[in-house]
Amino acid sequence: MTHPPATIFLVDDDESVLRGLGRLLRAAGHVTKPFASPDLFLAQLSGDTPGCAVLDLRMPGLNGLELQQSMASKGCHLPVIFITGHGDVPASVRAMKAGAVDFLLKPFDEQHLLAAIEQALRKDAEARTGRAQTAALHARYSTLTPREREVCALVAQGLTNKEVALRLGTTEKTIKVHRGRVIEKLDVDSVAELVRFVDRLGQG
Amino acid sequence: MLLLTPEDMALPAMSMFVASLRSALWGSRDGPITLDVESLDLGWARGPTYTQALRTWYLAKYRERRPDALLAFRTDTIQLALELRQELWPDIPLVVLSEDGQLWEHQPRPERVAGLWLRYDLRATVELALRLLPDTRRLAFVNGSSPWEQAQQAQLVRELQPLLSQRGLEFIDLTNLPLAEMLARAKALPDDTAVLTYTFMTDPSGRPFVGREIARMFLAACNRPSFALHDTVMGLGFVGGALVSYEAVGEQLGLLTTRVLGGAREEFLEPLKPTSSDEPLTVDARALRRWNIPRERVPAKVRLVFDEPTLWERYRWWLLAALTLSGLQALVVGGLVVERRRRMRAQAELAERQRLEKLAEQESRRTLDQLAHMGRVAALGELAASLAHELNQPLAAILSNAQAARRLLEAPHAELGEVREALGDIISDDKRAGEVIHRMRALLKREEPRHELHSLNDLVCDVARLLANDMHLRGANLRLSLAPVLPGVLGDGIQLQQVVLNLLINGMDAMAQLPEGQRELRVHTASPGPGQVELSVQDSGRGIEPSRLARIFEPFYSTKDHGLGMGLSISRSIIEAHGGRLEAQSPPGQGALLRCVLPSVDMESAHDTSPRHHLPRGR
Repeated sequence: MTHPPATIFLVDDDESVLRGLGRLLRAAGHVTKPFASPDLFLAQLSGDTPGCAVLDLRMPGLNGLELQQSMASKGCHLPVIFITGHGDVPASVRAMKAGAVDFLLKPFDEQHLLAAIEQALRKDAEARTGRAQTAALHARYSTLTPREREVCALVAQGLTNKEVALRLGTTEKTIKVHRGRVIEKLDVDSVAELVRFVDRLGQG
Repeated sequence: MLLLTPEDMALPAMSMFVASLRSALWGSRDGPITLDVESLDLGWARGPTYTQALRTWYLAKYRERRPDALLAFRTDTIQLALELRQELWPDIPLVVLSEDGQLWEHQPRPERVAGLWLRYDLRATVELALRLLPDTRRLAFVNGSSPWEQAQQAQLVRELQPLLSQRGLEFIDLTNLPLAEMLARAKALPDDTAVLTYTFMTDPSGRPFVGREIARMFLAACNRPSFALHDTVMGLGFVGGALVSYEAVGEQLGLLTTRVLGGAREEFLEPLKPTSSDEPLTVDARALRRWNIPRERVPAKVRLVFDEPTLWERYRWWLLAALTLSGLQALVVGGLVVERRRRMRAQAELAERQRLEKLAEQESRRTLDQLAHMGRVAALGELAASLAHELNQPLAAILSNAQAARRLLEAPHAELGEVREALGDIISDDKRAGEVIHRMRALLKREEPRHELHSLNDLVCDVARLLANDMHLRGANLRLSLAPVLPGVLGDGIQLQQVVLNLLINGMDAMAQLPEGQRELRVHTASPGPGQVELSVQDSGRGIEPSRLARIFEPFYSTKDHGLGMGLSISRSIIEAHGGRLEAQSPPGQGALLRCVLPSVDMESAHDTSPRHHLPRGR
């Protein structure tokens, strides 16, 4: 574990529930941070803590779904698990569409909660890895000159050196030099790998 | 004066005739008059030998008493009287009464004879019979067998004949029959028969009969109405006829005799003048009744005899008076009975109405209770989400704490402090859940309405607790301002809570569209006057339009999209059933204000459960 331990953020306006949840998750070996209101939670959000959020869906002021949007707008990518004392279908559908990991009805069994949390943490870890890799790709890509980026894009489209030279109005020989630099800078072994790189870059 | 009569003086006709004759003679003469009467018994005996014997007998008898006048009645007697006068008193006048109007046409008119015609008007009698019995098709004629009767027979039939042929009547001959046969035939006369009786002095056996007795027998046997000619038999059952009145005849004969004795010689030249009767026709009213002959058929100028007033007629006025009295009594009694019945019915109706009103009151109360219950269910249905949430919160906390405690205990170094905290939380959460359920169940329960003392403040607080979660979730702020000292309210706590619940939910609904932070619900209790407590609920919504203000208490009227429109209607009914009133106002620029005023009792009199309000006691 090179990254800091994952934290379970608990947001519920019911203090008793909040205490019970915290107690259970700590007993299960998790690190928890309880918040009795969405505002308090949002106020202390630090950019990129590993973990997940367990949000009560029905809260005065800001309900769980609104809170989720606020988190996203703040660049917080924590996976969300919704818990609710009264789950109506439309709310659960909206929650899942918004990317919630799970939607648990109170009172819920520890197994369900812990399984959901495991899933959420895994998802968070994966997303975190993906985001790190993409960041690395971006860093390498940013070292390319504009001309090299042009050549990179055309090569990734599957054009031959000759065609790229024709398109850019230069010689095939010049293109070969650029291409070599691009492969070196991006640290890829083949054109195929280059194509994948560019793909992931486009996604990221 | 000597009167010769043909028959027994005991015969009513004779005795009447004689009495009347005698009084007429006395009345017209000064001084006493002797009238000797000799019955010749001509129905029995006749012939030269008998005549000779009579002559001898009368000579011996009247030698020293020569009559001034000789009177004779009936044709056969007249013949005998003429012979006797010829021999005994040739110069005295003879005054006759003959039933034969043509007497002097059959024989030369003797000297010094005056007379009257005793006329039996058969024709008038039969015509009367036909008038009274229009359906008559047959005429039965009764006559006896004595020589005189048989001598009359031909003349009588001759007199009847034109009428019979004119009216097309069949003639049934009941003359000259043995008594037994005559009676037998009289019993079986056809229905359309009228009977005319002349006389029945003897039957063929020659046995003499007394007319009245025979008449009685005959009338008893005869099955058809019978008409007569002699007034003496009237009353026995004859219907009537052109009757000869022997009284009148006697009187007329007396007057004629007086005139003759007074020297009225011209009377001797006069033909026989028919005896006149003032009442030519006589009808026996009893016989009319017996034969069911309507009185309308009796011609005018007919003398009704024995018009024995019936009991009704005789005592008509008494009866009328009695009937009127008894009628009045009956009316009074009937009226009283009716009155009593009416009164009893009215009482019964009143009792029934009171019973029905009581029933209706109970029924409406029961309906209200049912409605109220439904209203509570509906209100709780609206609250279901919030209630579920409110229940699930402690349940979730309990489960989490319990499972946490288990995990903590399984750990190698159990943190017992943490476990103890978890258990404490579990216990308090359990109580919390229990309270929620208790409050819900209380509202959902359908028990008989109670009649208890309540603190309005407590009721408000209970509801506020129930709604707290919902308020919280809806972002509504509840501001309670409860009077520190407040008299109690008598009534059904659940229903009163329901009213508070409805008012608060309505208030929250009214503020749903407001931006958050502006949703404020103010609940206020006070005692506006002696014997009154007041609860007011004011929201911070947009208020109620005046046009809707009047209608919001109507059932099924709702300003909400999904409202049932029963809440306020039920609430008002509940408050009114508790003797209070519920009003809505919408002060300009503020939200809706609902004011509820209830009669109060002092909290000190908590044990005084006397019902002062229109609330049903526990049944």
